[in-house]
Amino acid sequence: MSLLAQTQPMYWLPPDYSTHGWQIDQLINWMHVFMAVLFVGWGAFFTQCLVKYRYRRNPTALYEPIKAKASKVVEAAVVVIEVVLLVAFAIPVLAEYKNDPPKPEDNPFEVHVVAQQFAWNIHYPGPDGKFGKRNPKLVSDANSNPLGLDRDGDPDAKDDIVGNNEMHLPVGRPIIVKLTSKDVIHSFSVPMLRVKQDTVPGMEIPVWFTVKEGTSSDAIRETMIRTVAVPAAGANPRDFVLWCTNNIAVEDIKGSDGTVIVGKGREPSAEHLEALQKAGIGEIRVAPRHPVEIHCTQLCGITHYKMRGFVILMPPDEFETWYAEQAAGGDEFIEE
Amino acid sequence: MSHELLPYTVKAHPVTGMYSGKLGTWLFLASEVMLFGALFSSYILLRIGNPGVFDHHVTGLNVWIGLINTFVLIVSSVCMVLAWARLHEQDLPGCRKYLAWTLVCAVFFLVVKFIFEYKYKWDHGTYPSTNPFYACYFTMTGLHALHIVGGIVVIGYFLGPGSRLYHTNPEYYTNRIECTGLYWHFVDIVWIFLFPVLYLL
Amino acid sequence: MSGGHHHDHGGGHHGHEPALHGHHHEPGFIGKYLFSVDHKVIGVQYTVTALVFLLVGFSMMLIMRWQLARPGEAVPLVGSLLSQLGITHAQTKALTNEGYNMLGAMHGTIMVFLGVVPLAVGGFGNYVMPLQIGAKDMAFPKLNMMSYWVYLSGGIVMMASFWANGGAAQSGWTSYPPLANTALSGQTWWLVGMVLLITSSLLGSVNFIVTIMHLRAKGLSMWRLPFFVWAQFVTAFLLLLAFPPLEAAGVMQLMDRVAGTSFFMPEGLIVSDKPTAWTGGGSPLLWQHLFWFLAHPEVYVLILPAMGIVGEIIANNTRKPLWGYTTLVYSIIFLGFMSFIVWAHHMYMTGMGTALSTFFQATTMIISVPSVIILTCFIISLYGARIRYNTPMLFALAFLPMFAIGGLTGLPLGLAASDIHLHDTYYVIGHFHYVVAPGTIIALFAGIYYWFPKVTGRRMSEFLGKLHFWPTLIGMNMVFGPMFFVGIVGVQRRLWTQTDYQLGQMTQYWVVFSSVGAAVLGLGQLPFIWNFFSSIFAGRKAEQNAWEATTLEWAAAPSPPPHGNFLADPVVVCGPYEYSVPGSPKDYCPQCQTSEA
Repeated sequence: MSLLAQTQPMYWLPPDYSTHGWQIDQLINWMHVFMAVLFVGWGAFFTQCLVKYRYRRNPTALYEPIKAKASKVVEAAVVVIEVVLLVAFAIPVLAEYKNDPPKPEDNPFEVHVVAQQFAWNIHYPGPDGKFGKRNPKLVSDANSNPLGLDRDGDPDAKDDIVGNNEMHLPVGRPIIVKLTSKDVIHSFSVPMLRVKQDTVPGMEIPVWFTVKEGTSSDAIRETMIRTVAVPAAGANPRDFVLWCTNNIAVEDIKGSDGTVIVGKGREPSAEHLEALQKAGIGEIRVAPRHPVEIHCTQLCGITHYKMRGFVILMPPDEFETWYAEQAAGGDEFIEE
Repeated sequence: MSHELLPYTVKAHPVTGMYSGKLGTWLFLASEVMLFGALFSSYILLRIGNPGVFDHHVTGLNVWIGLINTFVLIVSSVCMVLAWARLHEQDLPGCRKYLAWTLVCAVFFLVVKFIFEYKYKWDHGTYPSTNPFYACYFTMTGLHALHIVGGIVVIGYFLGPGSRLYHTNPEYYTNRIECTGLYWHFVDIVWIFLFPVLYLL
Repeated sequence: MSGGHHHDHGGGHHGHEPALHGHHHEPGFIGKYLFSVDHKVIGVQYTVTALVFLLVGFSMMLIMRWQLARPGEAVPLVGSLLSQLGITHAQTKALTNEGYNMLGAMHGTIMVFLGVVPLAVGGFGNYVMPLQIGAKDMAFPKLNMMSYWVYLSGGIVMMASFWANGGAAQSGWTSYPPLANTALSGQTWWLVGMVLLITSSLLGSVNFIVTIMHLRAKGLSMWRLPFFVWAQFVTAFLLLLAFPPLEAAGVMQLMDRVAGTSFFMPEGLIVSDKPTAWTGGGSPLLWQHLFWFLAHPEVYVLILPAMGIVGEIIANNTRKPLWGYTTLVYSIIFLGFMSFIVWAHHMYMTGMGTALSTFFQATTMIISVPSVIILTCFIISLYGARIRYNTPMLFALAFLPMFAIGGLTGLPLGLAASDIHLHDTYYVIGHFHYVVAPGTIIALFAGIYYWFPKVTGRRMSEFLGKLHFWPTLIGMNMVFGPMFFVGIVGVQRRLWTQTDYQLGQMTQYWVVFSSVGAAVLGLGQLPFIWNFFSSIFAGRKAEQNAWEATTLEWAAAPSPPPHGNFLADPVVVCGPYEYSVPGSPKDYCPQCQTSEA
């Protein structure tokens, strides 16, 4: 249980950075209120019966069925509440999520995702705004062409940008993600943006969402800083390693002589432990490298658990700069 | 437990109007409907997803062979009914004669199916993997052929060693032939759906 | 068979039932215990086999829970043994990624198809149902025997697949293609095993329906049937009609894997950077539709017999009639019908249109109503009762709140909008485990304690029973309760470890807690195992009507019942739960007039 002591554990819905997510959260919360009321109501009656009608206390059982009008009221109420939740919340929320794609005048940004075992290929159209054709015959991870783009023959493909597991997106602008898969069924899920959609080979399925204005991955990281205890020499480093995986130091961690043991932005690992212990550092401060993660929620094979991607949220101007750099700087960018 | 212990093994139940074996057979056939129903649904879905591939002009199955086999199966069903009818005349040899004819038809069907259809296609490089139509064709007719084989085993049993039951309990034997007949007609009906769906549409 | 056979059971009668004197000779050991056609022997065979499989499936879960709590650390006790099957790493003895997926797929398959259904239907249904309707046996005894042996062969094929090239199936119990199509040979074994299991269920269901329709005792109209029999009746129809589409799907997947067809394979797949051999043109979603067309009714196949057992035990131990018997029966029939048109609520995230998802959301909300009604009827049955807190009753009572949690948490999953966040997270795992484990399995335990005296003629120990009950209830809640919280945070299922994910790290403490719960649950089963075996030989002798019950298996058949079940044909004179009838000398009026032996 030492883990519990080290951080602010999460108990309920994770933070949401999308503009539509509050509706989903609201529905989930109301459902749980309804469930809790029903459960507590049942439970109270149940417990009362268990105590009141135990063998010793009640010498004769009731043969005639009681007229339980209350049960009919409860059942009717359940029906009414379910209808309300369905008609007033669930259907409109889903309709908005599914049936209202962003209009062209809202200047949506379109990006394609091609899932494969066990990575997310991100396909940007480049400065011309046109996606090159993806030809399965040309696909070759070995030749760094995971999408099968014809860079020479296809003018649309020339300036396309291809990313691996890192999806950079501007905030405050409608995003359209078109999803497909090269091999098996995966599921593109970003819990902190309340987005989930299976990627089915042979089908291209769009999802769309807008990230709240004024946020960014850097800002989110600031809210997720936590301290990790450095274990004593000889103690099990398990928790330390767990808590540092995919996290970075938020400041330079220096020894007593001023040498940097773990630089700011670097991931502390088991290798650093000895130095940290020697320097007598009791705890360090870390935060997620990329706080908004892409999960694959469909079992997709042996290392399904490693099929993790990141959404990197950027303010629009920062994003434009990044996008231009990528277009100029070459075809590929690879995860650090 | 001997069957004599249980009621309605031979006599009909007053409410359902059937003896147990017959009710059981009907229930089994209901599940068979779901089995082939699932295959036909899949056929429809794949046909919608692959326009052109399923067209009978494209697939070029030999309608005449299909037609002959349809005819053969219908004849076998008629023989099956006659075999049952003979038992009502207390004519076991007559029954066995018609059962034998049913068997001949069934074997004829399978021979035609394997030699003139399956083998012919394999020799000409057409396999289940060729396209979704042939996937459906081989799977559906193959499963149907398996049902025919099952029928041959059952009919063969009642033609041979199973017919001894007639001497101890003729009514029971008659019932068993009736149930076999129900199954056999069902297999026939499946083919009557398969034939137009695969050969003509 | 002869009268001497009866004396073996110490029934104290002289075998004067002419109906039982067939022309059969005394069966030997093999005929009596191995290839028996007696529904009671077959019921016991099913029960014992299914309990063994439940233990196997549970042990797999323990290994997985170890891995989840201590990712990448050597599996204790069995680590080296399992390395020979590739489940654990040869050097580190930790669970491999493949091993985790194997155990995951096989845990699901074993628990559902080899454990719970065979126990609930094959075991309890086979043993109890004919006794409750006053039948001498099932309508087709030989078919019944065949069902068992086909089931066992299916189980053996499934287990043997661990020795297949590349190990057992790894694509989840749902076996979604294309993943399952591209998987190693263990998947083919899985499919063959499934075809056998489905065949066994089909044979069994035909038998159940005909038995209930044809072999009821004189005076036992459908509206006098015990609730358990009704539950088995509806279940049999679900098995009969829902399983064949999966059989068809299994055949198609087998064709895809063996004959290279493309039922479920679209064009242009590239797996491991190589184009695949399939020509394409198929649909991966077709499998999901066929699979869930079975697998949703399957949920009710799991829960209905459990409800039946709970109904029996509650009526017996409240010493009053079940409240709303007619409503209960109509509710389960309605559940049965509705369960055929809710399947696509498992597929909201596959990109289905809003019209279709609206339909399935509506049917899903509708199907929750009869479940609410059933639970309400059971709880109201407690009002004005005279509750005996024996072990079966404790388990039956625990079923009620546990099933409530399982059922209620289905609601947010049933609405597509909330499902966006919860789909395929641990929330789903928590939801269906509450239905199946603290729900169904608890009810099955209740059934074992309740009918054990009938089967063996001896009672199980009440003390050990309670020692089994509390750790089981607490352990199950410790295991499955935290899953809701892990899931609502957004951690997805089927991960070898969740510690690579930010959200996973923040909920890892729950995972450790769950695993501790699994250990509690495991230890809690030891008293049961001891109680079960020792009571067969040394339990307190049980009288014929050990629980002072009204239904025929207690009122008319000795404990244990002889071949042919009843000493005289029972004649039913009243409804199933005539407890505490005013003016009656005893607080129960049996369904039949036959005096107790």
